[in-house]
Amino acid sequence: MEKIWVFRMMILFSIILFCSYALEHPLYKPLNLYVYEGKEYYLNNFVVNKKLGPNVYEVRSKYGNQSAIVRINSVLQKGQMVSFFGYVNDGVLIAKKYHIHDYPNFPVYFSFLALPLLFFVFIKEWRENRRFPRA
Amino acid sequence: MPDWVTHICFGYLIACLMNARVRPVILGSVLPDLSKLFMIFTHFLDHFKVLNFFLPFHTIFGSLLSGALISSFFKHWKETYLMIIIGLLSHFALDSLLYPFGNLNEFFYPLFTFETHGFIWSDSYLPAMVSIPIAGLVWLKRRFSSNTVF
Repeated sequence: MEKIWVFRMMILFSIILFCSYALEHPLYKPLNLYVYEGKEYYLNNFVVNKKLGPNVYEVRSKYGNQSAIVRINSVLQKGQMVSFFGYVNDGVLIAKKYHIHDYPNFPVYFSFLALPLLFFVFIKEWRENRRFPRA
Repeated sequence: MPDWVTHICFGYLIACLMNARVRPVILGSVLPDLSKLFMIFTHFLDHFKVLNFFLPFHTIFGSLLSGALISSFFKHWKETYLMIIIGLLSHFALDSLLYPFGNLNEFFYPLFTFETHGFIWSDSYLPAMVSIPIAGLVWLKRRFSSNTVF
């Protein structure tokens, strides 16, 4: 086996090792607002699921099926994606500030435009600068 | 994340400013978003396992490793790797401007994490509206002053 392939396998092994480490020592855990009791906290990109009472809403995360209860002095519509900032009281986020995301999927859809460009750039770089050019 | 078009434009501008090779910088400027592969697998597997598994690609150490792997396929790998690192840094610089209400910054995981308060929302089209015309003008200027496309 060529030395370069040994190097690549080592790097690949390191990446897999790092990913496994992150799996064993997770940074992102299921949301539990009671952990932040009395402290300021934020919820980014949560979708309004239903109205539980006057000014009280249940919100759900875009991924992961997590939910939280938010009290806010404003009227929200079901399906709106909102970010909240406030303090936690009895497991409920009392929102001081909020931001309604008008175009929540903009970065994902707009990023698809970059894919052909990236493909073009990669192919061009590969043709001109690959390690073992064709004879 | 800001959209990839913004990342590419920002990386392109930095490469032009530094008079560096543009293509590896562009590749590096989107490389950390390999972590967004979790969006595909989260529909089939446990969300938190998938999210945490792909997290290292969006850290400095993980992206340095993936950059090393990619640059090993190129002839002038040291130079390519350096350009990819410039792209990576431009990506992290842009991402650190996000989330005005605060967000967990995982760039230095597993050493430490901290919370940052940026000033741009992730779905804002403002960065794209600013960076695309500037990058377009610079590209046109370079295109007509030399024969390079990228």
